[in-house]
Amino acid sequence: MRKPLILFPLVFLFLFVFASAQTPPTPVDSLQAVDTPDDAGGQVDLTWKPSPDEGRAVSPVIGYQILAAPAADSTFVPIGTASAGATSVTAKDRLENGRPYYFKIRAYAMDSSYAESEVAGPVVPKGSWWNTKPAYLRIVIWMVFVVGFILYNIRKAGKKELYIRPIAGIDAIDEGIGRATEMGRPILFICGLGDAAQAATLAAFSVLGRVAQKTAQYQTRLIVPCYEPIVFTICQDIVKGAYLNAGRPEAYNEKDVFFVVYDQFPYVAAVNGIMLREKPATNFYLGQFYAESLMLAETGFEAGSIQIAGTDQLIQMSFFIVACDFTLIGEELFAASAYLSKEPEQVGSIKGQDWGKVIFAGLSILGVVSVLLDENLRVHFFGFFRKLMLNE
Amino acid sequence: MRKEIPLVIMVACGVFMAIQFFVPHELPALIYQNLNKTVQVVGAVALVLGIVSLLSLHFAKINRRQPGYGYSYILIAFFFMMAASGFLPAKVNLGSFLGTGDRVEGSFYLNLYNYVLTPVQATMFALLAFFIASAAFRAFRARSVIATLLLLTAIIVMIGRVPIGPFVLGDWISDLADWIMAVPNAAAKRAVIVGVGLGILSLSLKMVLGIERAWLGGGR
Repeated sequence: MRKPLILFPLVFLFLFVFASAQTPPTPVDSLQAVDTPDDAGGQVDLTWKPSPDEGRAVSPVIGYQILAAPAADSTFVPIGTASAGATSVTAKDRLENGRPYYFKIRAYAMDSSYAESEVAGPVVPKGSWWNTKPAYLRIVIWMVFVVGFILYNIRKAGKKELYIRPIAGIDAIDEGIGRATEMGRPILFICGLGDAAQAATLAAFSVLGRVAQKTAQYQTRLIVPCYEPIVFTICQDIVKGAYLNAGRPEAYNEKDVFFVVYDQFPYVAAVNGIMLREKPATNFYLGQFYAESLMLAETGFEAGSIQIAGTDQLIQMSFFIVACDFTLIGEELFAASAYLSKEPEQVGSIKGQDWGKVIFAGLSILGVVSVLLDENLRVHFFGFFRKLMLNE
Repeated sequence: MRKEIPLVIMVACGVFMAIQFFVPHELPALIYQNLNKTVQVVGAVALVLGIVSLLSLHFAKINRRQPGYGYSYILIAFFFMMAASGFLPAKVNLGSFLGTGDRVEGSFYLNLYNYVLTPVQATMFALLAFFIASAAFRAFRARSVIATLLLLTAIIVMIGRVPIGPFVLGDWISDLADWIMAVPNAAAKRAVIVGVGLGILSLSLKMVLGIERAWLGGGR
């Protein structure tokens, strides 16, 4: 009876020692390395089949180490890690463009034992010259399509007169200038808080040029307080040029186009002060606006000015609609210059824009129909539109 | 040449910027970064011009004794005080109230910023609440069918978005408010976004093709 009692701890000790000994895991399999497509370079995509020992009961694989070397027989150095369960990683550290690299994956078990995969490579990382991702291709197709339409209409505009629907906000520009002239009060033109690279600011420059030419002809004072230094220098040049074009360079007062401050609320305080002191007959708010839009427009209302606004900022549009007499909504701001100039090429661009909208509206309807039909009725005719709508 | 050179630069930059969006290679990215740095340099130079414009305007106001010229004194005084405070050496001590030199916590420069400029800015921003109230009062007057519709929609959204609305009326009011924001409102917003996008594309094309030249300024 005593023999089995002595054997039991020995067997237990044997099993314990056997179980806790370091048992290297099975390495990952089918390691493949390719240069990452559509990147700036210096990246390699690695894929593998995970170690079957990820799920073993004793000392499972807990992670992988990515190793790289410039030659298959040279020393491999760690350049990254991947957690257990991962089957791919993009190696991006310490890889240089134009140089060959070899890769290995080291599978680590919980007991610190490890096993290395076979070597994959060589791979030479290099930058791509064109992004072939579907999303980018889609953008290219849209752009070519819409740009083609705009260019076609610009070309067509030179041959025959095109009709543009009346836009109340732009028609009101002349009324506003006339009102200021009759009342003998100045016009205030604000180009917003955007910099000169913003499309809305560029659209504001176009309108400023037309307004300045009219104010030069009517000898009405034009005040342009600027928020951004580069915008200020451009505005000065535009107004000066407009006065020159109107044949009244002597009427241009450079003190009326000035830089205020490059800070949102101090700018609002300064412009509101100008409104209340100078009582302008007409205020133009064209460009990019943020929280200050309503503060400016409400002060202008208090000062009794006619107000014409236009911005590409969606939230501020609603503030302008509430507080101003006329608001250029959406693309109307960008059409203002063409509408005022009536130049055939400019008008053609508006036509192109409108055709673009028609295409978008048509595709949206087809997309909505395809999403509704494809799920239930299996109508695959709309598959393309479904992909567009669901961004598949 | 005064107009042709800027036009050529603009066309080259415009075409490059459009293409670089589709090119992941590091070379266009490097050029893009450098172009952005160039814009910063131009901005810094333009800022000097802006400051000259601002000061000359206010000096002229003082010289001519124009109405409100007293404010120009304040502006010029604070302008130079703020600029000078940034150059104060660390060893200068203006006392416990004004602070020390340098630009660390407790310095004169940061005290001016934290205890003068920031509260003034916050005050201006706070005024927005009153402006919104007065604008809303005018907008929500039910003068027509559409204005009444706007008023009703606004009431539903406002009540649905505050905690007391669903608490008193039930969850349907917040569901309705969410539906208004997610469906009709989002549809209208997207239509405007598409229009703005096409407008920007059209304007960019006109500039690259040299049809739109207002930004060039200058006389004929």
